[in-house]
Amino acid sequence: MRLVMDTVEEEFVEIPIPIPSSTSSSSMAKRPCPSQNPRMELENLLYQFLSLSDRPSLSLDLSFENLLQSMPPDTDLIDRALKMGSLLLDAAKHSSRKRASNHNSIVWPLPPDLTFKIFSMLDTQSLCYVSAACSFFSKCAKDPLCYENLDLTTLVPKVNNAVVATMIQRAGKALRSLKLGVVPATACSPGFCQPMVSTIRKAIVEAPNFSWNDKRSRQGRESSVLTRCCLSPLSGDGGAPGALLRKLHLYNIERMDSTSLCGALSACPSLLDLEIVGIHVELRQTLMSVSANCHLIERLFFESSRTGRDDSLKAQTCSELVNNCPNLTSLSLRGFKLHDCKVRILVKGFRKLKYVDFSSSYSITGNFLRNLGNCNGGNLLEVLILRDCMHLKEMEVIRFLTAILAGDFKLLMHLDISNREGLACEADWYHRCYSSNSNMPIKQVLEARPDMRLVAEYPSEGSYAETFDAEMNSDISLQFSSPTSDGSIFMSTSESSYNSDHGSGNEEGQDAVIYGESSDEDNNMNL
Amino acid sequence: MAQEASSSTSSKTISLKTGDGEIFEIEASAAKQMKTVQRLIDDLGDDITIPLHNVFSKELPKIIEYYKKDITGEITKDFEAEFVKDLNDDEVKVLFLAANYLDANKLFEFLSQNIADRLESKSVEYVRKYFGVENDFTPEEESKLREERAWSFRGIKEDE
Repeated sequence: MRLVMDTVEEEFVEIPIPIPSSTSSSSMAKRPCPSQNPRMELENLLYQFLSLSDRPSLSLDLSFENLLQSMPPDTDLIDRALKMGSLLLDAAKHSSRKRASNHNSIVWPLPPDLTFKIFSMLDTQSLCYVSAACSFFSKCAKDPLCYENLDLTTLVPKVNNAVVATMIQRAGKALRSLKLGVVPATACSPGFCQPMVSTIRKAIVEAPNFSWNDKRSRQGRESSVLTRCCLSPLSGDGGAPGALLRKLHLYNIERMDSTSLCGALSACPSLLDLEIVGIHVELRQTLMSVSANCHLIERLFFESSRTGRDDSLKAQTCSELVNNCPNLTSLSLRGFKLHDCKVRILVKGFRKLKYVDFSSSYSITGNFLRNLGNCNGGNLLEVLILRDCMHLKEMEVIRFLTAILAGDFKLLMHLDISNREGLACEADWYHRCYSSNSNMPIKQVLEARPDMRLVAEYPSEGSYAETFDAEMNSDISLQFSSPTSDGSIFMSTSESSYNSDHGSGNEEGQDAVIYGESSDEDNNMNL
Repeated sequence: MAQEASSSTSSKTISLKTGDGEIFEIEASAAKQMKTVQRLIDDLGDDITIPLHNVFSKELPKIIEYYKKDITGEITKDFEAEFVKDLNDDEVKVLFLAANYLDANKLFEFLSQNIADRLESKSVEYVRKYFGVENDFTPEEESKLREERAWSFRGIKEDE
């Protein structure tokens, strides 16, 4: 017996087994030669031990207790039992996992390349869940093709830099589209719904189970916040992930700034579709970066995070953009201070421009629309949205509609000149034009152009508001109704709460409509 | 039981025998879309009943229905929606595996998308049950995966 112990000890240094004389008579009977089959010896022992589990009347705890009582008190049997128990449990769990893996390979006969075909059709969130089902799926789900279109948008801030980095890394050069940030649930496709910026704050506060004191951030783990470098993985790995990126949509990333955004854009020369909402970046700087880096761009949707306060756009920026990005077909600049002369450069200059949205812009009067119909840039317009532009003059709109009646803008399919406050009257911003005293040839346009959808919703003074929809097309349903409850642009409530960590002046009241700088129409307006 | 193919070559039909012994007929042009079947035809000739060991009488008719529509070029979104409307998740999976076995590419792609749609917003346990796979992760791997998906903000309850 001693001999057996010695050989066991030599081969398996970790496991000295004191074999009590009362048990394993069969192992004693085996008595192998010292150099032969020590492993088999152990396996026999194990097998015997495990077969004990078949015996219903056996109680291991009692036997163990008896054993302890029969041994001298300083024997370390308990520790050995703990150690052996632990070893056995680990081994059993490992084998159990192996068994599960084998089972899985029988039950799911598809090879990886067919499996990740399904996975590549899943949205990013579902992909995370599927990859946690079993190790084979986890492996399949790591294929770059599954990460081609990353949608990391959430209702409340939950994604952190690490998540973004991991996903981008997995995509590698297969990355084609990336959506990142916080998007409220009610946001629908842009161009036909309200500005997403002002609704975000309210949505965040109202979202269930969300607390700014989220436990995770307190635990010292990386906080659930995207920092300014969240897009730096696009430039990583020699710029491979960004190189073929086609679509980049960013929403309400509090900490992102101009430098980091421009850095990200410099890594994306193939960008076709750029959407930026509620990011604290300057219009001019961003457009310059697009000009410099994204020459293929076709769609640009830019919604300001500081409605009405970004007045950075310069004429030169517009010219450069027009020259460097000739493929632009869709341009949306919402919530900025835009001057007619600059806007004119844009609208005239882009030869392929079809879709224009300058909703919620300040300063533009509509002057830029003059004589647009008979030149290259303007005539191709199919959609023109000038919703809630505070300084849009009724007179200019009338002029424009007249041009349409005269046969210009033949391709225009959708025109939205609605205004919550009514259009501006000529001489005085205080006076608004309401539908009841409107001189606009709306009905004539509707008759002359039955193919066109004309939306011109204005408040009326003391009478029913008439809407002049050309057709009640339920497919493109506009979400506008009377001034909505979730924060209008012209009231400042959403504004002042928005810039708390920017410290850019937490003015209460009329900050939305005060212009300290020179503009062509430099008037104060109190609402 | 071998059946004679119809005499006119223009409307040639192929006999397929399922794993549970039933025989179905399809047109030769439909059979072309199922590469496995086509390979068997090439090897065995088109007069013989082609045995399909891994496809059964429950799913083969549906597959035939799909390709009947396909050869007339009439597969529309509406048809596809109708095709899967009454199928439960298991039936779709079985069809999917059969399409894979038959190397029927178009159907395979279509069902891939459908399965992906059914998996959207489902919990991990659901996915496991659906595919019949078992959890074979170590605890460390599991918690790492849980951490990796912590950001996905779902309406459904994570049931683990």
